[in-house]
Amino acid sequence: MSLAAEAFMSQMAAAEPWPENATLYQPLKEDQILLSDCASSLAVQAYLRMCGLPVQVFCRANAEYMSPSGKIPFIHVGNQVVSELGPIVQFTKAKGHSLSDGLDDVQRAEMKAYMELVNNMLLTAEISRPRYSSPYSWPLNKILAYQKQWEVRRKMNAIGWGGKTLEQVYEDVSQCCQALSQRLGTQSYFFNKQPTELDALVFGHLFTILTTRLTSTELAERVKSYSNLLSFCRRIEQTYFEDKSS
Amino acid sequence: MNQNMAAAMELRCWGGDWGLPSVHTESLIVLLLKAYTKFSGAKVAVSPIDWTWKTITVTVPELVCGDTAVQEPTQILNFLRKQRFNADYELTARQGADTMAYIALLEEKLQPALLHTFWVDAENYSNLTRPWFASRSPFPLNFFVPGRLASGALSRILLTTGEAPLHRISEVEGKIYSDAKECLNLLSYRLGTANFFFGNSPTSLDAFAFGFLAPLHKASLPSSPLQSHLRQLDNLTGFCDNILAVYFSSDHFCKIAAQAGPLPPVQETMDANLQKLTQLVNKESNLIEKMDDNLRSSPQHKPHRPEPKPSLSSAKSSTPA
Repeated sequence: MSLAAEAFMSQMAAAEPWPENATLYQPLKEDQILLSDCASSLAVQAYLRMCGLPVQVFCRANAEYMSPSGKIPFIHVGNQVVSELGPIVQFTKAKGHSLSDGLDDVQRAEMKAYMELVNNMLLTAEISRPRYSSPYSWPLNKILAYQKQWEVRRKMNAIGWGGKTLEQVYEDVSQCCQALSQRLGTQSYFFNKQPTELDALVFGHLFTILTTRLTSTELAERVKSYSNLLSFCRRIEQTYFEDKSS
Repeated sequence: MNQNMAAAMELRCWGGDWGLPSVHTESLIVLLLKAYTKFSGAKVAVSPIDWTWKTITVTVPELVCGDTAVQEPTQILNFLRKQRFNADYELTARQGADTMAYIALLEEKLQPALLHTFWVDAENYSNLTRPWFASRSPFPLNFFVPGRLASGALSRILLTTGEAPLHRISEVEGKIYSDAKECLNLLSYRLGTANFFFGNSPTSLDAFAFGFLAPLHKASLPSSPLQSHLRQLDNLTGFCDNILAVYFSSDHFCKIAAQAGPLPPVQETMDANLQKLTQLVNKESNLIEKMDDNLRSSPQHKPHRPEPKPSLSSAKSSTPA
């Protein structure tokens, strides 16, 4: 977005407080949602809960097409629609809710860097295990599934992951988890005692990997070997999602 | 050290120009890695692929050791580490984690804009990048090689930053440039006043940062807002120059640079004007930020922070239209 458009959106966002009927849209849980989309959606939900903002979650089959950027999840607040964690964080910041205000510049740089690392490694690892069936009837479900797979494969090739074996992908995920584990150390959250959007993002991805049933449990096993990450996930789940039945 | 292994390594990369040992980002990264593993006895012979048929057959950079060929800077880094030529062994675990994170940041935020500046921007591509790569490829490859690299760059940008068939390059341009400028600012904060990112000796993060920043800093691009933004960040430009002076001052690279001819003298006045312009633009963006802050602190908006904060004076508030 250009600078002027961003300023305009901030102005519009600052005009009204967070409404009670904010909604979050994501694809259907059982058969449609991809691993990466599930992780992104969970990350946004965690972030909103950390800010103390109420939001209702709706599952819709055509969530992808409703979203302004084509990516999920997206939130519908008042008369505005915002998608993806980055813009949503900016949107809530314009409304005056921010988790990362207490960080100085160097810490903010670190936070952004770690968020990119998570996006890079975990997101693409999740994509490389496609699981996309469809609630639509034949032949549309076949066509959409192939289309999605083809898109994902193109993206993989463009960023050079096309030639990677599954073993290498698992290795990359391990390294990423090791980096996160070392950064977390024995702290409760990644920065000081307060959660930030990085915590929400990491929780979203790790929780999804740990709890989704896949054809092989290798990915989950790798994550489980880092005990401080496990307890981190458990802690956030208990603190912010205690009313949700797991 | 395994002498047999050390003797047989060969690195293929693009050649140098503009005062750099190589103009290609990934090649630069690996060249710097090679430069400071010199001390541990790694004998790596550098063979530029300019003017050979390898320009179209080989993915660069490539490290050939005996029978195995390794590509991509991160793979080469891992390979060298397994051969026990490790530049990162002095880092703590936490710093190693930070390295991974910052490299991911560079690749996600800065690289699309760099690719765009060199390969997609019409003016830069037709005046600088394409002639350079065409002149370094043998006939008849000079017709194919630049085009192939350019379409690879374009598809990479579109697939990673936009939803491919729906968005076109013009729509993602604004986003990738603002992301890249933010990334440069973040790097600058992290570097501070130090010579390298971690202490006094270079590490793999320095190699990656140098690989991305140096072409942007040194190339004589006809139109680049990103380059002028980088020139404003003195500690980053100082970082590049420092590394060039310390690790790449050998005669070999000077000869290649001299062949290309001196930089045009009009660069100096252009820089001064650009500096003034960028200062103006920065002042404007500061104004917009202040506007944003004022809006957020306006009295009709109650901040929901955990600890109660007194609202700022309402004298500066403006009501939204």
